[in-house]
Amino acid sequence: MNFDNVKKVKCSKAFTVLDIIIVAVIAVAIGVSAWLIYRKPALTVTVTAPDYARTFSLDEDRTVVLEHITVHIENGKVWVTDADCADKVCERTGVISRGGQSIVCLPHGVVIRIGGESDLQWELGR
Amino acid sequence: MKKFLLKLVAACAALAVCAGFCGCAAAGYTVFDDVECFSGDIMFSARILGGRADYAHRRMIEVITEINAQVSATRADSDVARFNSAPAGDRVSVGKHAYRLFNLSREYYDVTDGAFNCAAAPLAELWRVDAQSISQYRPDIDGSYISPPLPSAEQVGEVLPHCDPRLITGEERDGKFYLTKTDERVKLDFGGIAKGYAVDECVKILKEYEITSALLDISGNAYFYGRRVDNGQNEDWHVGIMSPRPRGGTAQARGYVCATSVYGDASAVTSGDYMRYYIHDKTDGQKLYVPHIIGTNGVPIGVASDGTDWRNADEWVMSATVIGDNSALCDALSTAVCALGLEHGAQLLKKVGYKGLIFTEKRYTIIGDVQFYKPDVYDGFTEYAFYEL
Repeated sequence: MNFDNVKKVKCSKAFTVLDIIIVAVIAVAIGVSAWLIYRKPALTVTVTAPDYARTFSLDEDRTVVLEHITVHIENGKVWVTDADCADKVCERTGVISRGGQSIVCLPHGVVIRIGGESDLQWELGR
Repeated sequence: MKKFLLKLVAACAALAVCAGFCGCAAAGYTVFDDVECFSGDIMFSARILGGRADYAHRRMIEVITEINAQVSATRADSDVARFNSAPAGDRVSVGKHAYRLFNLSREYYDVTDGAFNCAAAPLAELWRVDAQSISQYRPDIDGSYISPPLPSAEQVGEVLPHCDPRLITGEERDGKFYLTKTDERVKLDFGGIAKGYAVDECVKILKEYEITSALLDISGNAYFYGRRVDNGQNEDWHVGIMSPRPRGGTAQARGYVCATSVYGDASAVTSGDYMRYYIHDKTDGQKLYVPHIIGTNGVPIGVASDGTDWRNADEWVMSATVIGDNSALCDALSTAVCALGLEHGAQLLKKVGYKGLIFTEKRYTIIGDVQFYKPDVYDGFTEYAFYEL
């Protein structure tokens, strides 16, 4: 029996530093892709006007003052005030909080929409 | 060194697999946008994958046009219009679609104990909820509306006996189809089933043209053909159900009450009180909401009698979604569930073995293994109390 060979195998390191780095990189990559696939989609509020476009989180309270309209995001609810248009349809839309809802001000071209990721293929009851 | 290279290659392969998972390349569905079919505001749209998509789409439009020519309520030259204006006892020759629709409607009248009624047109006209009147009285987008007069309970009682499909007989002879009425005033209206029937006919075409996967929709009558293919993977179809409130609001203002997952090879249809309705101003200042769906008692859902006058009912179905393999039956059942109310509607779906989601202004219930999709995102249903069957 060749004891030298056994000794050699026993002494050699199981993992080199490079091995650990490679394993770590793979682990991180798997983690990131799993997060991308399974993460909970947070609801967002997208505010667009002819000269303005921004997306906010529905969970963060804030007030967006635009030229013709003020948008309020508070406690997961969105509504508008101070609309200087004649019909005030946007103000009468009231408070929105559900995915897919939106407030539209036609006279000033302002659209405020609550969306998750648009992962629905169809909608019923339009 | 060779060993290290091997490891590196393995690592790159692993990363590539991860990247593949993340990538969301568009599945190659051909999208066919809204095409006007049936009358005016009824639209047909489709997304088709595999097979001869263009040919299938063209053929489907041909078939829908053919069905409309036979059953249209607004066209004076349709088979249904000719039948409606014919005197009692006359044998009226109709096309195969009109004849099949009559037979299906007759079957569903029995299945739903009269809640789905293809002969309710005289009542619809009396209540001014027929297609033509409702387009005239439906509240405008800015909230303005015309308040039409209401019929009396006596008038309803007088018209009701003439709204029975059993007063019509069908006959097939030498490859031709005939309908005969035994009552002068009976009228046909396939509005509650024609869209579903047309979808079922389109599904036959998809099979014929060897389509792999498709989504068809005729104004709210959706059909999910096969599994949804996304990145070469088979997935469920995810469908948002629009909230029925605020009534009269645009779809954007209403948002989703919930979303559901559909496996495939199934139809989903939603009916409710929030699209086609009018508001009647009562003398006491109250607003009476009158939707287009009429119950078995001859009175629209949501309307009740207090002996002398009409009032808003205490509870009624404002949205009913039915999921099953036959779109015509889904169409008829969604209307029937609205007419029957939450408890009886749910019992009907259980009896037929179709899945469903029913919402009243206070509560909701689920029939069969309906899966909510992302209930933490599309969570409008939490505004209602769950009703355990």
